[in-house]
Amino acid sequence: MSDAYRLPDDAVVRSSWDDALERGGEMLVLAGNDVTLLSPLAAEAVLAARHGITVVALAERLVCAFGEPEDRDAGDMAREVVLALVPRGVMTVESPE
Amino acid sequence: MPWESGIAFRVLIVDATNTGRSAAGERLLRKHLWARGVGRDRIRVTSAGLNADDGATMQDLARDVIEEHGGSAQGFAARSLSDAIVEATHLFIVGTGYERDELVRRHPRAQGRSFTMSEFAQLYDGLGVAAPLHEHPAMLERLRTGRDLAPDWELPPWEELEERAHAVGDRINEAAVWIADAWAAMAPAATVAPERLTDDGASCLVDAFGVTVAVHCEGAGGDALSVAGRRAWGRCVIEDGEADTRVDVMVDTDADALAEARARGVLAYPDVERAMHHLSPAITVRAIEQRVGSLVMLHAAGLASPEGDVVGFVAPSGTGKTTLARTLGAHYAYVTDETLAIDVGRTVLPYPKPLSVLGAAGPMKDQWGPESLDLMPLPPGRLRLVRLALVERDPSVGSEPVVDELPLLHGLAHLAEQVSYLSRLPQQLHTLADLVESIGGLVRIRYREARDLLPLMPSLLEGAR
Repeated sequence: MSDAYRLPDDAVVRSSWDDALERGGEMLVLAGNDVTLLSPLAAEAVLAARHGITVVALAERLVCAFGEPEDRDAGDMAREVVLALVPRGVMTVESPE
Repeated sequence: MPWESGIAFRVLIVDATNTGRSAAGERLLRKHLWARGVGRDRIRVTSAGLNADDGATMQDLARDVIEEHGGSAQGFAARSLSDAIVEATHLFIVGTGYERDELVRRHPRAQGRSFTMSEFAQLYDGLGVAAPLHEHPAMLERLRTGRDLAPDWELPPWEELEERAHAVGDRINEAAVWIADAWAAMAPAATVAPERLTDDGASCLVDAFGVTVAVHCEGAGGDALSVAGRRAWGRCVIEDGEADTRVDVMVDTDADALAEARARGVLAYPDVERAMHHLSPAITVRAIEQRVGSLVMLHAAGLASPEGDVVGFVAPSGTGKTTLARTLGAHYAYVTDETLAIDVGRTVLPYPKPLSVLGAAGPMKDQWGPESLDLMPLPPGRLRLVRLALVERDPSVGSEPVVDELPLLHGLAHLAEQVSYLSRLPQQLHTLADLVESIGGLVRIRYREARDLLPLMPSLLEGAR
């Protein structure tokens, strides 16, 4: 992805869903018409973003819960989660404040 | 956007500037839908451009193409694509593969719902769908996975601009005719005036999982259609009852009579075979719309034991449910091959509709009644769901099917894709989870041939006892 489309650190992401089930750290969420099964990492991200959170704060939250990722930057990991969930309607990105 | 029964299915046609292909697509698809009595209150077709100048006029070549095919170019003004438009759209039809990729890159919410005009035709070709239009994008997306589809049409080179434009126009018009024919049968129902439900002129009444659908046949071939319909739908036909909804269908060889009927919203065809082909999804979709929010309705085949215990085999459209139902239905009671409707207390409401069987000639499938295929009749008394299996045909599997128990959430994630109007069910995922847990969870079965499933039936029926 080019830098022009990189999600900024201060972008606020927010999660929403219509119904959800949790089992063993995983979550199944219904958002609009889409049902999405979330890994424990994605589930943590979605719960953290319920009331809005910046990308950088989300990365810190994920590191706190799962530790520093071995193969990449924590911010990139958070961005990947967000970008996977936006098309599913589970997360939206708001303009940086 | 949640699915809503009774509201328009929103289609957006997208290209770069909204002055060429998308404009022609909008006007020609509208024309052919309108000619079939499907107005903007049922299917709303609009267009937009990724880089459009708002208010720009249509290209002359696009105008020529539209008018050449009998459409109207009047009042058109280009508009640029916005997040709000994307959010309000159910299905995107995009000019080219490049534009589709660009649409999804700029608007991630369009992912999984965006198809080029070329892909669209290839994906629908041969797909027997009997589901509300709102479910089609997800079905098409699943079909696209793993298939190597040509995203663009083969067209004359750019140097021959006029010839190229007219070739595009011809392809768009062909696609629009075909789409309008297919969608008219499955479009959200028009409001039916109460007096049109109480008249006694129906050719027959069909019981589809407790919904009484009045089928009215008309035209020079109406009687022949009525006879064929009664034969194929024999196990669903009821002699008396109050209609919940209706389907009007005409068979006539007179083109003017067909056009007049289509304009009234009648499904109109030149022969009985085509009418029967489209009647089945029309009845199914009308019935589904009547039970939104009150039944769990699965894309599944159902087979029952003599005691009335039902096993549901869940699979997407076009992946072998009919073959499975036909094969197992020689030994177990045929409940349905398409829509398994489950009421409170796991009561299954049967829908022993005709089965679509590939005919000897032509791409159109024949509609065979379960009686003609000698499928086992329903046992008396209540039908009760005892097992649900997600089934997947896999030629690499041996003659013994592979059965896996699925963790609840993983199973539900697959099952949810095959539920009609899940978002309208009370308690949504919780209702589905309660149902699945009440039958001991979900299994996934991979099998090579439908007959290989037969030895599994006793254990599937036994499993929930």
